[in-house]
Amino acid sequence: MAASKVQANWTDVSHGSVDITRVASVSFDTGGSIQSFMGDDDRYPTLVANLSNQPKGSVTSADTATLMGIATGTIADFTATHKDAIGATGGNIIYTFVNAVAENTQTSGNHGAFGSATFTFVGYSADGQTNPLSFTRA
Amino acid sequence: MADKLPCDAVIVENVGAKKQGANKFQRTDAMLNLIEPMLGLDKTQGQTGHIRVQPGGMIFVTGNPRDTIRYPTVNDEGKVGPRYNWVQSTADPDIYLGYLKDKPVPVLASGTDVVVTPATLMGDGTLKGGV
Repeated sequence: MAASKVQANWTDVSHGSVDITRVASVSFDTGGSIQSFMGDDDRYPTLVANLSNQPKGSVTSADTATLMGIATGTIADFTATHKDAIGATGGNIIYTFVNAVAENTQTSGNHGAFGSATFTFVGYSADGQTNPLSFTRA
Repeated sequence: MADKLPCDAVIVENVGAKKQGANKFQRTDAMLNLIEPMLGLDKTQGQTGHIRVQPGGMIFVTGNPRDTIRYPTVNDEGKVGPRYNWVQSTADPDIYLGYLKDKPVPVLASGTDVVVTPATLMGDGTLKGGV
């Protein structure tokens, strides 16, 4: 079966040694920001530059106990595989977010509905230059 | 003169012109099919390149997602600056091949290679600013 080369659903989601299952969503944010400079009699920016980036990510799961068990400040690599939409071999995108620092976990559940928790993390770069978020395919 | 392969890292500039495919998977696959042989990675053995999209649009690719362009800010040996010697590929001027400076036998021993700084980097390995 040929890969659809479209992704749907997540698997192999983990933060370090903590495997996260019952995953409803995963998101990555490159955290880019732009700053504009104006001076003198400028009426529009005369310089626009990307001076900093603060990448971050989050995962939402029905496994609330696991996510709530990750202590704020825990540093580990976060990995997640975005699966091929029809489950074919060779259509997955694998994300690796190194130096993912646990920021917060929020959990909630309504009456008559499944509970869930959302775990957020921010990343740092070991050299200050290299994007901590990488991806490959499998 | 042919490129000395495999190398330890690859930087690709002007990526937009090289991306082929209608979706993320196809573009990723096309780039990695080009770069992985340069890194000596065998996809059939589960060895894959990891792509970091860097500010300014260039990509940095190695076989290990923990690799960095410069030495880590904190390291036991107190090393600073670029981790690699960069050589422009003879096949494509937008591609730079990185050879780890720490290797015991210098790869660039022939005297014919010219170590350069990729256009998107400063001489000390930091990224150039701007958009």
